[in-house]
Amino acid sequence: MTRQRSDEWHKRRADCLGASLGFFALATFGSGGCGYTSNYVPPIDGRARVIWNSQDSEATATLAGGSLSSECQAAIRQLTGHERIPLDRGFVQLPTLPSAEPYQMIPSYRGEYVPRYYGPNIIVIHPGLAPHFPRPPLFIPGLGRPGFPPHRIATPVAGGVRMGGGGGRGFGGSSGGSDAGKAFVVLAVVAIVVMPVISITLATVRPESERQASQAIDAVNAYNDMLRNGNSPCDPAFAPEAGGAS
Amino acid sequence: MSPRWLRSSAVCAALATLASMGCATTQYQPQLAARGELLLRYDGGFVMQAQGQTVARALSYRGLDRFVACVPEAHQHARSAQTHGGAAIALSVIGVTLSLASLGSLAGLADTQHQWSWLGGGLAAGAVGLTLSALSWREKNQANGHAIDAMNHYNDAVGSLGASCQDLRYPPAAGPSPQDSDPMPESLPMPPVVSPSPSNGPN
Repeated sequence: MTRQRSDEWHKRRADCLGASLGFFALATFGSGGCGYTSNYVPPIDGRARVIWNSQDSEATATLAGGSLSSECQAAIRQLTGHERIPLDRGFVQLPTLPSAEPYQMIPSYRGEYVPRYYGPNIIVIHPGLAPHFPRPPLFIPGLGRPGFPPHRIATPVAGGVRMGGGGGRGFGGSSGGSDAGKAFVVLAVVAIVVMPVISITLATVRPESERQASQAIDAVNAYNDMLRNGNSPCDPAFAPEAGGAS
Repeated sequence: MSPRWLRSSAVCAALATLASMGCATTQYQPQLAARGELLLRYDGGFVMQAQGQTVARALSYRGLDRFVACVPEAHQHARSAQTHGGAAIALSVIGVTLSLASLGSLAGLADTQHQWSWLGGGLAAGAVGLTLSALSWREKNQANGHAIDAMNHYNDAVGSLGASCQDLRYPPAAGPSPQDSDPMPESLPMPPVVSPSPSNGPN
């Protein structure tokens, strides 16, 4: 009688622990899929930016109206050494153009750089508070003008969207076998060993792709440098294939 | 399965996880940056720089809110990034500590009389640790997203235009924007015509 009661108690305990484990696992995997949703909309001003792609919770590059000709792509590859760049919602594979003349930054521009923007002069009305722009100042002068070479971007060759949260399977709380005790001990030991590994991984590994973040940042920095440097293959007005006048 | 074997395998797995972490960094050094412009770098996490000095870095993003204080939207995002970053660090530490502590419960396998208590405690500690670590993952994402948004809002209003919150003076514009210099349309709508009736005419 006492033994039967003890077995029943063990069984209930195993069920309870299994259920709680399943609950925690579900909570764990469920919360892991929630990323940050950015509401930032970059103005179309011709300055490239690194933005947060809410769909896959990764940093990605956006050109904000700028163009990306094949010469521009080759120059970015030459300056950064990356084979591809994450752009908006995909990846652009950068070409290798061994015959192309390497792009060089003009040394005289190094050091103090005063940005060239187009629009009205900016006047600070409230000291210590940046003014609000009804229309953003432009970094590419002709951007938005009718007849200006439209911005063209190479077709993304590889889909870069990775949906977050693969969906986890919770541990089932079934231990209804007659020999539940031994089975549960093995299950519990495996769980106790595995959980710290997953926990340490989640706690130490960065959620963003380091490679993708580096590619996006390098591409944006190189792109903006080339535009600011002048005579850039990334400037829509200067790109030969865009037909723009220099 | 002896407890010793289990413990050593767990430690090996954890070490392998740590060793397999990526280490990509940015390769290109930006050369033409406006005064006060926040530039991004990646070196084991996002690093924000201005004028060659590190302003803030992941995950704490300490100092970012002060740097972007003159742009209200950027300031709000920066504060959120710091809050989420702090939470991510705290949750990671507690999560890992609890998870590692749960391994100690394997010692209970030798204690046959209290085996269930040991294993139950270990499972509970491990599960809570795992949950906290998963929550820290989410907080890291939030911190990075808010920080990048803060940087973009700041650069749009101040940094990329050659000003900074410490010295909020903008250089003059290089020229008008195309919208400003667009010519007037050639044909304007005709004004309404009022035909004078003979009875209302001046006498």
